[in-house]
Amino acid sequence: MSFTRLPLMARLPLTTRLVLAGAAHLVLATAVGAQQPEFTARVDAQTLAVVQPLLEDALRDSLPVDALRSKVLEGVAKRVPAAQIGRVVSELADEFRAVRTGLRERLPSTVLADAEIVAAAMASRHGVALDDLRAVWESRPNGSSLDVAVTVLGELVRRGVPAQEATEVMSYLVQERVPLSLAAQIPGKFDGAAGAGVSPVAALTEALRVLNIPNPSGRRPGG
Amino acid sequence: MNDDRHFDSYLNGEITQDELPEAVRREERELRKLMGALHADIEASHVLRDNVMREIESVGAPFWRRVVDWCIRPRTIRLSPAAGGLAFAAAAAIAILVVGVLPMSDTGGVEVAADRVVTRFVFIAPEASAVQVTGDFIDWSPDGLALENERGTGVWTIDVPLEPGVYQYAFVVDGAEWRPDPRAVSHVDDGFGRENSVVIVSRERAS
Repeated sequence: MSFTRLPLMARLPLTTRLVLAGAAHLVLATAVGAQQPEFTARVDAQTLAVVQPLLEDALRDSLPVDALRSKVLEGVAKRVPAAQIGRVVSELADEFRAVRTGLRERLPSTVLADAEIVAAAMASRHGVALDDLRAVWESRPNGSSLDVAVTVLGELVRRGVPAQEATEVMSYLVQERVPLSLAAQIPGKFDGAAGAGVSPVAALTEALRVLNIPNPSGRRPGG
Repeated sequence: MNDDRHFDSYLNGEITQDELPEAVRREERELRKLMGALHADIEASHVLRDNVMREIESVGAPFWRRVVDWCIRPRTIRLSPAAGGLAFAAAAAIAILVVGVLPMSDTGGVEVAADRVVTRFVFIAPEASAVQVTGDFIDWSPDGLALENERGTGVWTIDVPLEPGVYQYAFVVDGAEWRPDPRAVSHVDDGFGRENSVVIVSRERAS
């Protein structure tokens, strides 16, 4: 390998590289703590030692660090041991990473907001596939946030609505710019209908009818 | 023939320039030079040209168009420092008045930023002596937000202004017991062996 083909860092003397690496680490560590000064004040030293490297990794990977910090604070408030907090935060970061990577592969030109990654991770946890999430993103006519729509999608799938059916409905709502206030009420109305003992698809149809939202699957009345 | 008559004959084409007396011919050359200068293009400034064109366009234009033209046309305003100071003070007073008078949101007297939606949390616990709500919207503050026991009925409520989004939360009963909201639209595993409740806050909240 010729000298000129070496990466910039490799061409620098070892001491310079060590100094630069240390500085980068310091910047990341400072960023993790400085963005929320009360964070370090509320988290005990043992927990901080466990989660700090995880948060630095998350920051480096452009994951929703605020959501991870919030999970740490939740664990501290609930008096959870440091090791368990670390495990949960690590798993959550992995979920964010997987969803972010998957959506980036499917939607390379789309910028994902932190709230959208969090919502997508929760929906994924409820059984929504990345391709279904992509369908919702592709139906977005503008840059409006999809966190509410994706959350509702996850809630419908969790309640037993087939993913394809739920995706079709939510994509339609997004495409037609149905107010989020209506979309947010779908799970509640669904529960009301499902309580009467109907199938999930029928409950979804009823929820849409009650909210006066056109049903894109209207060709299959009652499912 | 005097000079004037020679000149008239020349202008009428009865005689040529060469037939003019020398004095008249010299005068004619001066006049021609002067006329040439008058015929040369005059380069008007673009400001003058724009203003003239705007005036021409405004003639016969509808009233609203003339008002708009008047409003958008750049003008030079001369202002003394005293008058300028007074104008600035008046503008600042109006701004303060408007901000103070206009409610950011109708929340029963509580000021709420326009981008926030008042969200009511309700928890029924007749046996409880204190109930707090905490969640990711307040970074899981251990103190939480205290709910009010409405007339001692055991129905604990609080209105919290939240930005649109999806939030996780839980109630803390008597400072120790973590409880999910049974009325919540959804619950998620918190990873710590308990459940968090989920609330979806949308800007055009209708429920």
